[in-house]
This record gives sequence, C-alpha cells and structure tokens, in this order.
Amino acid sequence: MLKFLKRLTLFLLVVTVALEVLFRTLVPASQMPRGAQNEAYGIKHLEVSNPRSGLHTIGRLAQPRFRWQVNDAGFNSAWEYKSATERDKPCVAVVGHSYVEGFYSDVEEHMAGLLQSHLDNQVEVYNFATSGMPLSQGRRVIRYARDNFQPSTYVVFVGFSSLKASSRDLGFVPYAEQVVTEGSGFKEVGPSPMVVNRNRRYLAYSATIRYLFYNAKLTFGRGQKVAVARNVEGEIVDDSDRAYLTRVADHVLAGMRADAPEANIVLVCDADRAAMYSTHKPPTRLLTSLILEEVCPRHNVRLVDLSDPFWQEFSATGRLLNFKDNYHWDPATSDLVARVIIEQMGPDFMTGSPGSRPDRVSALVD
Amino acid sequence: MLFNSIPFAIFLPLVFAVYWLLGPRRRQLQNILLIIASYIFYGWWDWRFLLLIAASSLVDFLIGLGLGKTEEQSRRKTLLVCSLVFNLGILGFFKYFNFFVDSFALLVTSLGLQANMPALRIILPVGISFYTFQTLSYSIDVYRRQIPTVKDPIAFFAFVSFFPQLVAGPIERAKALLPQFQKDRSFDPDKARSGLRQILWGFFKKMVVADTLAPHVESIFANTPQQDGLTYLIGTFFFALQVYGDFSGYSDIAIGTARLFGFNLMQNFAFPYYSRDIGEFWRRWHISLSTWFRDYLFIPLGGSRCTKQRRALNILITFTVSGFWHGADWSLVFWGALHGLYYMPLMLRDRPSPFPETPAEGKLLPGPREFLAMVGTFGLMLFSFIFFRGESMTHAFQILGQIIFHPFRGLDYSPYYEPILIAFVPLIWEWGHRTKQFGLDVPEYPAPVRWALYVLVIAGILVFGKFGAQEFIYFQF
Repeated sequence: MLKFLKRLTLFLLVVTVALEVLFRTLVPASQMPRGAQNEAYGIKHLEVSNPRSGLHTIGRLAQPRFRWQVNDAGFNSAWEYKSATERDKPCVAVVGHSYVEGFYSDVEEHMAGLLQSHLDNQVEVYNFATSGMPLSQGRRVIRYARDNFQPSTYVVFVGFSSLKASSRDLGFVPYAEQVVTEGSGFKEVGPSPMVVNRNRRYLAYSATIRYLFYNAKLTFGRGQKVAVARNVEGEIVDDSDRAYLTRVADHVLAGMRADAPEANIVLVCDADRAAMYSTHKPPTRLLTSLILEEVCPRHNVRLVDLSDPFWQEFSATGRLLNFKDNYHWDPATSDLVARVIIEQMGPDFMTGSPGSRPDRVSALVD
Repeated sequence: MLFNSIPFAIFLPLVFAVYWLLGPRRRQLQNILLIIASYIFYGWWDWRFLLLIAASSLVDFLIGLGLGKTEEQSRRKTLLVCSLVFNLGILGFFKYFNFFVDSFALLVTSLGLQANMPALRIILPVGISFYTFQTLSYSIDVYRRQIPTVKDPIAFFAFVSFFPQLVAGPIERAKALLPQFQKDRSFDPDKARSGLRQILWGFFKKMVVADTLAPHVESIFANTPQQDGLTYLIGTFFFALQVYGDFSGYSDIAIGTARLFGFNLMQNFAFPYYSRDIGEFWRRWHISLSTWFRDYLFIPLGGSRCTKQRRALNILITFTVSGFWHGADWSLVFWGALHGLYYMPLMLRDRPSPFPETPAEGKLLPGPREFLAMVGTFGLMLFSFIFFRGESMTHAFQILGQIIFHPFRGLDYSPYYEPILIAFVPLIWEWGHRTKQFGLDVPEYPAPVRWALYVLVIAGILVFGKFGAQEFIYFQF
C-alpha cells in the first residue's frame, strides 16, 4: 500500500511538472496583472511590481492571445504617461471598463492605441480603464487623470450595466465609488478598500491553476460561469427604473462636469448585440443610452451610441462583434468603435482644440 | 453525486483511504463503510429515494432468506413472484406510470371517447432500472438454486448499493459480485493501478468525446425543419459516439473505481463499433444488460432450443422489452424491436460468424469483407439511433424525411470539423487496443511510455474536456 502511495505521489508530481510545462509553452495559460488601489484617489489600477508584461489568452486552446504591459502609472499601456508640461501634444483619456482596458487586444492596439493612431498621433491617448468600472467611478478616474496628466478630452465607455452599477441603492460594486440616495438627492459613497488575497497570489504562480481558472473557467464547485448563450449580456435594467436612473445619471454627469469643467467629455454607449444577433434586425437602443441622451446635453457631455454602427457592421458582414462565448468586443470591433468615435466627434473635439471645449459649464447648464 | 464532479473528486480518495486504513481483515467494517459511502453518494442527488434502495434491498434480502428456508416449490414460487411484483412494481410506477396513462388516454381519445386520466408528477429515481434488475437477479438465482441464500444483511445491502455501479451499472449478477462482499479483501496494487487507468480512460471518453459532442447533437436534433439530411447524418453519427463515450466512459469509471476497493465488475463494453454483425454488437454493447435479458428473459421464454418461429418471437420479445427498459417511449420500444428485426437474418442463417473473434485478428486493418461488415453494422446502428435519440416517433420520422427529401441544403458544416476530429482520435486509439479490456489497458508498455501516455490523456482532458459536470445519458434510464 505504502509503495503504491509513493508511486502515486511520484506520478502526480510528474503530471504536475508536465502540465506546468505544457501551460507555459504550447498552451500558455492566461496571465493577468495583479490589481492595486490608489488610496489617494480611490481608483483601481494594476500593480507596477513584476510581472509588468504578459499574455492574456482566451479559451481552452489559449487562442487568441493578447500581450499586455503595465506602465509606471499602473495601467495597461505600451507607453508611459507624461504630464502636460512634459509633452508637446494634447492628451485624450480613455476611461471605462474591461471592453477598453486592453486585455482583449494587443497592448498597442487597444482602444487608446487605436484612437491615437486614427488621429494620426496628433494626440497622446492614455488608457485609464479598469474592469468592472461603473459610470460613477469615472468621476474619480477623471480627477486622477486631471490632476496628473491634464487631458483635454475624456472618452468614457458605458456598458449595459454601468449606470445601474453606479447606484449603491441597487447593489454593491467593490472598489468603486457609487451614489446612494440621501434625502431628495444623492451622496457619494467611496470605494471599498482592496483586500489582497495572498493565497490567490500564490496559486497564480501555477500555470495549471491559472489555466483551470482563466482558460477552462473551472470554478471548483462555485457554479460554472455560464458562457453567455447569446454571446453578449442583455441589459438588465427595468423600464420602471428609468426615472430613478435618469436622476443617477444626472447626478454623476454633473459631478464629472464639475471635476473637468474645461475638458471635452464624450460617453460611448454599447448596443444591444444580443437582440441584434437573435432577431437580425436593428437593435433597440439600450435604456442606458436613452437616459444618457436625455441627460448629456444638460452637462455639455456628448454621446456616441453604437447601435447603428454595430448594426451596419453586423448586417454587412454577418460577423459577431465580440468573441465566441465572450461578450467583450474583439479587436476588429474596437477598431470600428475608435473610427466611429472620431467620425462622430470630429478631430477637433478629440484633440481638444480650443474652439471645441466648453468654457464654463455652469453657464451652459443655466 | 456525479463521477465528473468536484464532490466526487474529494469523496473518492477519502473513502478509499478510510476503507484501506480499516485493514484487510475488517471486512464487516469495510462493508459498512461502503454502505454509508454509497448512501451518501446516492443521497447527494436526492436523499428521499434512499428509502427505495433500502426497501428494495430489505425485501429481496428477506425473500432470499425465505427461499433459503423452504423447499416447497409453490412457496418458493410465491416468494419469487413477490420479488418480481415488488421490483417491477416500483420500476413500473416510477418509470412507466405516466407512459401507460398517456398511451391509454391516446387510445381512448382515438376511439372518439373522452379521457380524463390522472397525471402524476413522478420523479424518476436515478438508477432505478439498474438496481432493481440487480436485486431481481439475486432472487431469481436463489430461486433457481444457482447461488446460496445470503444471510449477512450487511454484505447484501452493500451489494445492492455499491456506489460505483449503483446508478448506471454494470448490472452485476449476484453470483459474481455478492461473494466478493463475503470474503476478506486485501489491497492489490496492480488491481488499483489498473483501476486508475480505467478511471482515467473513462473520464477521457466522457469529458472529451461525449461532452464535446453533446451540444452539437442537442442543437442538431432540436432544429428539425432547419436542418438538412447531411446535418442529421452528422448529428446521428455524433450521437452514436456521444452515447458510447458517455456510457462506456461511465462503465470504465465504475469498473475502475470498484477495482480500487478490490472488487471486479464485469466488462460492459468491448469496442462495440467494430462489430461485424448485430449479434456481435450486442455481445459488445452494454454487455451486462444484454446478458441479463438473455439469462432472465430470452432463455426462460425458450431461448434457441425451439422452433425457428418461436425463436424469432423470443428474440423479438427480448429486444422489444430491452427497448422498453431504456425508457417509457414508443420510439425506444421501436428501437428495441428494430434491433430484433436486425437479428432475424442472423437467426435464419443459423451459421457461425465467418469472422474471427477479434476484428482483424492479428492484422493492422480489416480485410475488405470484414470492413464492409463493420460499416454495414455501424450503418444499421446509426439508423436505429434516429429512433433512440428522436424525441418521439413523429420526430424520428421527421428526421428520416429530412434525410431522404432534403439531403443537402448547402448549410455551413464547418462547426462540425473539430468535433469530428476529437471524436475520431479515441476511436482510432481503441482500434489499436481492441483486444484489451479498455483503451488504456496497457500495463505491458514500458513505464516511461505509459506515464507519458497518462500525462497526454490528462492534458487532453484539461484542454479538450468539458468541465460543466454534465450528467450521464444513461442516468435517465
């Protein structure tokens, strides 16, 4: 019995080593940078200690594979960020969630890189996106970017749940500022402190464990992460929430405008891809987009809705705009979005030319 | 508890460790542990039905005792009838009640009468068809005096509830398995190693072959009007491999697990898709069930020692009942009867098979005649699987209609290339090992080759396998 157990242990060791080799070479397990929190601004970013670069791979065959790189500021970017005094070009800040964070494209070709190249490098585009960011957290990111890099334009990406996730009344989102009802208005609730799970960090050294978690999506009994059947998530907000969410949006956008009174701000809203794929008809705009369309003009914030461009692309090519079994935009779609933003906003707005920028927002609101 | 689940991955080593720590001469304690473990294993799914297993065990144990105490034939017959009524009664109630009610209602309605039949929401207890057949085999064998009465209730309860084969077989005969619970067991490292190999191969077939093909089969069979004939042929082919991977995979895991505890279960699958006629297919497919029906239905009906007409009727009855055992649906009954019809030419020919026992014995590839026989038999299987997989007779005929009248619609077949590749690899591997008990039965390979092979299979499961803890198809039977 003892001999058998010894041999079994030896075999398990051999298997472990062989799998580690396999998942570091032929089928590289996904690597993800560790998260950190900037306590002064209460924003999420990436840890600047090693590893500073790696491969994010998707699926069981580790395909496709995307390179990421953490810069000194702690964001996924191929270049370092400079303050206004250090650079000779205007700056655009990309604020948003995992769609634009850049783990679903090579680091040079994420949303910031695409905007920069489509604007012929007339601007420097900095990526401040972090996964799961609600719209309300955008205020803190804008403050951080404003104080450190003084962008002239903010491009803020909004997903189907970004607005709903901004309200603590509707649910808690970790590491993010949210608003909560107080009297007849709202007040801000700061982000929860980030807790480092040391066990998880140690486990992440094993390529096999990373493979099982990230690539195979094995959840060890905590319920399988359901591959979204329709390839995208549908909007969950109820129409009865509209009035409430309109007030939330109004409050959040007022705050954003107050934090960046002289900068251009454009919100970019996703489309209901699920409906588009299943009905093969132009998608109805997301409720979030309709609310923002109503609220944005009050704060001199522009809005780009992606329903029409996405429908045109889908009806012309028939291709999904996201990965199979993964609702994140694929690189081609990110490129489409970058072109749509520039086309709809115009280069002047994007480069923040003086004529395009708001003087005093309060005056406009009044 | 599913074999392909995290709870089982914890449960098995735990039970294994405690079982052998009890020591080789603590048979009673080991049997008690196996009963507890088996009841936990089954209760994980639905604890309420544990009472059913316990009741089935108790009734047949008492009937066995009764049979052991009396020589009076009429009393023995009464006891056997009690066992049959009880076991087939619970099987009939849980599995067939609604089927009979619905069929009767349909008949009444077709006669133009009003049918207000009771409809009960009955949950089918997992594995009921398997353990009731196992306990029945005990009572029948004791009645036939083929085995002695078991007086040790612990051994008997452990035999009925033995968790590796409790929910989907192999359906063990009392004379083969019960004595193993009645003697001391000592740890045999060779047996344990062989068990682990078989478990590994079973997981590969289940998680890589069956579960990869399952969603394709599901989507093809769910969209009848949209599919063309070729898609249905692909779907049926996938289903044939899915059901093989699923059920033979389960059997391998069950047999391998039993070996870890020192038990030998019967081989349940012997590479059936290499069969060269339908008779051989049934000697290689779900062997424990086909031999059960042979011993307890076909032979009592008269078997082969009767006129040709009677023999034909016996075959037809046996296969039809076998179809009915698979599920309360006319399409499954038809499937069974179809296999009975397939068998007729063999019976009429009444000559031994022209082929050697093992396909392409001593050769790498079969000869043209043998190959054609294999393809033909597989084709017959595929045809019958349309009825096996179809939701109903109507659905099965719709599929046949599509195959005949709309064979090609120029659909996109590219999603099926990858699964075809994945499914073929183990089939080709098994061809090379068709003389073995299972695909990974390779103790004679040098250790480095063997270990490399195991690593490859484990990596294959991790990279290509599905981890959603998919249920096994035969649980529904």
